[in-house]
Amino acid sequence: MREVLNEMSIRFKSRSANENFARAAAAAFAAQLDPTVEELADIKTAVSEAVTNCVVHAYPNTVGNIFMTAKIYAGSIFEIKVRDTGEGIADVRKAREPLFTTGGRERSGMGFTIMENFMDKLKVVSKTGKGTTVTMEKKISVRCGGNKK
Amino acid sequence: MKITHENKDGEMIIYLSGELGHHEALKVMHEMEDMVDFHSSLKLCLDMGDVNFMDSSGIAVAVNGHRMMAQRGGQFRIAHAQAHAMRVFDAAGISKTVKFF
Repeated sequence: MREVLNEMSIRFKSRSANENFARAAAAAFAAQLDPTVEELADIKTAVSEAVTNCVVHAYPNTVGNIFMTAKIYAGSIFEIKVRDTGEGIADVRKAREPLFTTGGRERSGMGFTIMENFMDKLKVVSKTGKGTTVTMEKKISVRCGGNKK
Repeated sequence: MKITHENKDGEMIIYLSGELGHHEALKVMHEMEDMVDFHSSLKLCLDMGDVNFMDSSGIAVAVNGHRMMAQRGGQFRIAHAQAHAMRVFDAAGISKTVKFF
């Protein structure tokens, strides 16, 4: 087991106004690792994609709960988990393909591709009718002079 | 997200300011359509100089802008996209279709 140095957990409604809140909250928590501007933007973008997926796909005609947990592991590893109890994804492999979307014209089908590109690890576990859990991980670079604790 | 516009030398310029995510994307698309229709513009520019965050919703906005202007026989371009926005656009390989300035 890896050592968890810090952890936070929040629950919010699947309203699109909360997408902004979720990425800001994740970034504020990740800030203690002293990430570069680019690393922080990567985290914000990946979280935004995961949360938007919940808003658009997990709870398409209803408002449900989104659970977000962030952990910091020894070695400057940042982990973020976004979970919903919505509709679930029937075919995860298909959903992860670039440009594939069942969303409207405001969606590009690039969400999972962005999460994959901007984070080091991406795991998607989903069950139809039960919900989806997206877990992502990124190692934050340790900079000259050492990062803040 | 703040959206303003300017009709400059026959080109409709839409200035975006703030964060561009899913919550804002539809509003931007409607604004682009409304302005281009109202002014019968054949040139549309999306100025992203003041966009400080963008996710894949920005890709959808760009694709829609490009498609909308192509249907009207016009031109579409994106101006002043920041480094982070470009990384998102590049993930979709969109610079093959949309012009950036």
